[in-house]
Amino acid sequence: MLLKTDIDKSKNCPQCGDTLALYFKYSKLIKCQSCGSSIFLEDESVKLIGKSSVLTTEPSLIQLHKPFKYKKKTYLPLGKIRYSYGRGFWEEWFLKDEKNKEFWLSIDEGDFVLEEKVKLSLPFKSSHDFKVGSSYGKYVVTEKGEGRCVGFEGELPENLAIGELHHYVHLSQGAGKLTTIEFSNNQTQTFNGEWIDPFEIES
Amino acid sequence: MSNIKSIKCTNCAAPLDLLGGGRVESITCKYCKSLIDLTNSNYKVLTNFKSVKELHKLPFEVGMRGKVKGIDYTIIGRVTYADVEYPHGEWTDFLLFSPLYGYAYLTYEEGHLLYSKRERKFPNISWSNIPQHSNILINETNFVPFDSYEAKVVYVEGELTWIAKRNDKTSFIDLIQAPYGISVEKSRDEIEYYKAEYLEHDATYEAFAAKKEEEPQEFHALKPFERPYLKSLSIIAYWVMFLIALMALGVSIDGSGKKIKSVSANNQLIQTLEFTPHSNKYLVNLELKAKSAKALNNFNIQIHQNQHLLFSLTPTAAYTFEYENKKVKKRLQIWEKHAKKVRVLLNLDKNKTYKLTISPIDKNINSTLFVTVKEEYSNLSYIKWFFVLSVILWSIYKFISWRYRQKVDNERGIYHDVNFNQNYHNASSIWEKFWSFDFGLGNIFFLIVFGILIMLEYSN
Repeated sequence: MLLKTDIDKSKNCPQCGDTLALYFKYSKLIKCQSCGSSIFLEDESVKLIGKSSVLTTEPSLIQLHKPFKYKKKTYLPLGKIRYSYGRGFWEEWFLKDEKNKEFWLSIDEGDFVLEEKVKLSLPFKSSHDFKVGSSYGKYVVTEKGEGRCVGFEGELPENLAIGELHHYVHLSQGAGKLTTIEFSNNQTQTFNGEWIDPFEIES
Repeated sequence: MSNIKSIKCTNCAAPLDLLGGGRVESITCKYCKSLIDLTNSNYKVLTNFKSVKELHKLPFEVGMRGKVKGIDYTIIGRVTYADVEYPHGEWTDFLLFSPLYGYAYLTYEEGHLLYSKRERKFPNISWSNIPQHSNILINETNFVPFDSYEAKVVYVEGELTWIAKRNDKTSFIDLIQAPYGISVEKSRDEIEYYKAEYLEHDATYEAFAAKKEEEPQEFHALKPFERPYLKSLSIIAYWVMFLIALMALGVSIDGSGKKIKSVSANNQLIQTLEFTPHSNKYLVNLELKAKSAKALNNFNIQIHQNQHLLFSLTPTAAYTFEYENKKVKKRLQIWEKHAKKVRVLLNLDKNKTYKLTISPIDKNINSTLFVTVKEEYSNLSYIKWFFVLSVILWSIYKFISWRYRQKVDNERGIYHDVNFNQNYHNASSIWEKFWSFDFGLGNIFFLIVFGILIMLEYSN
């Protein structure tokens, strides 16, 4: 399985000086693989924003920087964010495909959702505006919940506040199609995608 | 994701291991059978199942590990349901957990085993509308609404991803496409969809190192009809029938045998012609042609072999004769009075010499007859028995398969469920069934008729 990737090694960690291997040129946040520092990337500069906690290693079908195939398309996992909901956690994997298109793969106890970020202006300011089971046109609210960001690995296209509470709402369009609205830090993001069968993932 | 944790039972203080990942919401203490709410910070005891344990002992147990569909699972909990209407109709869902693939169920129902996982691609159809559909397309598979019922929880053990108290009720709608099924489950709080698959028993018992204690009951809606050898033969028979029919059709449209001889006769003289067929693969086509019907009807034709009359044709009658005793073997249908061209197909042995005699009837009628003898049209005597055998074989398989399906339907009470009865008949009227490939009778009917027509066409 081949995925052409240019790794940018022109930047160094401001904490330990080690080379930062950047797989995605629009990354905003990266964790130094040597010292675990979180580094914010802005234009040509790098800025240390603190030390991240080390995430416990959990078994996963997806591994950082190891490409996988789903429905004949190859995806490269570049980073992941872990959210805790008390008794457990779920992970959001930041991926790029062969055309450098960005995707997010959410993995929660064997449930996989592959989504793309979309620009939608919605009249909703909070997840409290939604009630599970209610309909909005072709959308049905199937789930809402929250989790606290406990850490990240790899590189991400946006900055992240560790410890921040993160609310989400799942809107089903039927037949596995899904829209997710995320609310965090007065910011709303919308994603479109689908539930995917982990049996179809080829590592 | 799994971090093995341990808590103490709120009722008896026994240590309880949590194996089942972050979504586990309840656990039943294996010592005192108290059901503990893990979503409550005080681990509140909700109910107790101690008194019902022995009634529901099964070959699978919480804590067993095994591989299903290539995934390593641990049985972390079980819940036994009883049908509200028919309380003896019980089944048990064993909750499976894999750190990589999450949760799934191993269902035990009267010895039958099913594997099921959450189905996320069910279309947005309201609960009440599901039975109104004749079929529902999910992930390129058509599922047929089959049954609806209500069940209550009668026993719980181990960990569950929800809180299941005794007598909690859930409504179910089952859709089937054996060996797969969709279970739509409606509880007080939500509707969930699961895709089930019928499992091979022995392999599953072996995978979990469990002892088989009960032979499966004869029928289950998801149990595929299995007669692998007969099915293979039936498929071969189907294609043999198809090929024979196609071959016969092709040859009848464009017979491509060889011309043996030709001769012309007039109203003055008796004309004879000797010919020898070279092959038994084809029938002998005797083609008679004249300028007018009157001219064609002015001749008698006979075929002899070694002085024995085999065939006689006059304007009013046609016969074949038995070789030895000269008795009429078969009377044939005569041609239409107005015909100017006639074709007679005869099944004659190869490498034997036959004598064709053309005799004018009325020497005063000016007439000329052109006769061509060709080897033409396939002789079906070789293959017609293959055709008949294929029809029989194929019919046997289809009949057994159809009877099996009827028995499954009757066993599951499909004809007694008022809601589904109407739907079932709407979906599959007798004519739809008759012509469907699955039902088979339509195909058998068509092929038998086709076969008979071909045989009649080529028999002499």
